[in-house]
Amino acid sequence: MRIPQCRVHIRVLTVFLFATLLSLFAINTSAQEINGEALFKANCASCHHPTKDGTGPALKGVDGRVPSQEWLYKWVKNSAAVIASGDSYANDIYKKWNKTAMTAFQSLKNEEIDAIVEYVNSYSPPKPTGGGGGDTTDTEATQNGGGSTWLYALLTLVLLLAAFVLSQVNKMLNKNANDKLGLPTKKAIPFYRNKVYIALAAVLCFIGMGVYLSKGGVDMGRQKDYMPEQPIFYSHKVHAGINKINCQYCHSGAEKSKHAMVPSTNVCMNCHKQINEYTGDKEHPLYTAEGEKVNGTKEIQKLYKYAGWNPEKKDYNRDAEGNILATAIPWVKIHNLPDHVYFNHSLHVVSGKVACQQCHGNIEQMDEVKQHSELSMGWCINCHRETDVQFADNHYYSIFEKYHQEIKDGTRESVKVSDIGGLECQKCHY
Amino acid sequence: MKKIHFILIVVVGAMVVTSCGKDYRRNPGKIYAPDMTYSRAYDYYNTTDSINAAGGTFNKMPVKNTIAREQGIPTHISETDTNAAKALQNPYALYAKDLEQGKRLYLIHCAICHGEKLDGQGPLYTSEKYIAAPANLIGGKYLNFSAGKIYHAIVYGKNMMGSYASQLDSKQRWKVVAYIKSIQADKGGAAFNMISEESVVEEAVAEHNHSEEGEEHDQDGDHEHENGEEHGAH
Repeated sequence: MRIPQCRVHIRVLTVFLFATLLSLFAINTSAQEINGEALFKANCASCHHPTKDGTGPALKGVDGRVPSQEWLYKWVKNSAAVIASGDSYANDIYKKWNKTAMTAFQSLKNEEIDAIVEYVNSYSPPKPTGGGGGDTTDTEATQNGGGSTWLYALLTLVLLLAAFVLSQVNKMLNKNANDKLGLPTKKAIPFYRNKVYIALAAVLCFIGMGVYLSKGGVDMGRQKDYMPEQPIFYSHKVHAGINKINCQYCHSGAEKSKHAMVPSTNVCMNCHKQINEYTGDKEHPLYTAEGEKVNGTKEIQKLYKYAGWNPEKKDYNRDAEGNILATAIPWVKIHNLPDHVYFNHSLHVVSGKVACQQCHGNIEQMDEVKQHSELSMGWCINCHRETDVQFADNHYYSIFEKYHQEIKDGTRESVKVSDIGGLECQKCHY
Repeated sequence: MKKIHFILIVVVGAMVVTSCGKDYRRNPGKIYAPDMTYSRAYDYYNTTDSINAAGGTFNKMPVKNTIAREQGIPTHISETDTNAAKALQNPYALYAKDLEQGKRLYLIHCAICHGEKLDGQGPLYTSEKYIAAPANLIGGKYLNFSAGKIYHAIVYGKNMMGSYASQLDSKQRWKVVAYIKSIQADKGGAAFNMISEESVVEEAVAEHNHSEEGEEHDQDGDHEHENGEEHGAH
């Protein structure tokens, strides 16, 4: 009796052991399952994208294109050797991609390459998420604004017409009533010969002309709200707002020189070698101030023309000496000070620590830039009167010993720009 | 009767006043002194027509063998000479303050792709607008890039990255490199040794000189301009 029982025990034990081993093995393989996405991002993503051409071709469906699976393994591990072997497919794509050599990934295993291909084939571009809500209401609001103006005009016209008709009816009724009673109707003097009206019109004309002349005189030379049409529809909202590029990325002169600098085309091409289409049309469709739709991708192509970039060859057009055949983009200057005014960006940005938006407005929300500030002398002077100078820890102002002493003694709270000569004529006019 | 006419005039007047509600204008308007507002002399933002007509050039490199003011001696390392680039050393004395500047410059010029944390996850890449993965500076092979090699990448660009030589001058580049190396040291890279010992006096003097030079520079520029005009007048 004891032996068979023992056998049963052993049998149960073996089955149990076998099952445990099996499950362990299963867990083991799942732990070893290769993460194609991670591998792709670590090794391939700096040159390849699943669905877009980068430095190298888009990789989706690559296993269907290449001659064989084996060929793909060889290529990834050492593309130079495949090209050197005279393989026609390899040489064709090498030529097509400007003879850009692909890094050899000898450490990648075949299974890992398979996993990458699997990830690439399963890739689908993420859908653009929201963010458009605010913009649509914006455009609706402006459209409503335009609509209501017309509504008011129409209403005024209708009222004018009604007033005219009623006055005519009134006249007729009066005449009829007078005729019935046999009273003579006083002949109405037309309004253009009525002295009161003529006097009133004269006074109004006088006031109107006065306002027009004085306003014109004051505003002459001031270009607030100036929004010229630029050679390329460059949206600051897309670049500085949505894509969060810092102002000084492009205007790097603002901290170094008198001028903030409009970037040369090579700065644009830092990103636009890659970004050759505007994909934000759902998120933020582009419109001119007049409401015309703008094709962002076409605007980028305009840039390529100026920058001398050949998007097909993915290289610059060059002359015989290797100089890039680029021309300057003829941007229209918006913020313009006459020659007799000196203004220095670096002084305001570095020593004064003034934010760009203080003078230029919310550029990061403007598709087309317009002049936000008056740029009049009164406007400059006002700011110089009101703004505190950053005196503490600022070696630039170390020569103002008296003020430093007064601050130390507690007799002075702050130093305004006007205190250090910010209102002197020669500060800006020399 | 009269009342009605009076009301009419007021209504029409109000209409005329309210009808100009555009908040932008395409025309710059009239100016007092056109020759001063639209400068006849060559100036930075002048329209390019006159330069074009004179056969002038744009987007060209600075004249060979010239050095810009306040810039160090050029390295003369070509784009392909990566071995020399690897060994390149920072020629400037950098202080803790410069490291802060380096961080600021990094955030302006680099973080858009390489990420605030240097992990290659900048907003331009994570939003899928820029499709090439930027280098992860705190992991993989880039963690142990020499300072010279990073400097070289800033000057000439690397892979899809463009050159930042036109935006960052040589000292600014080294400040950025120092900031990157200091973060890399924290993340397991080589020990960080690019900062000179803090010396309060030295720093103050350096700062003072710097600001003075800046002033001189601006004034010089303007004096030249004025002189030029005077010569023209005589």
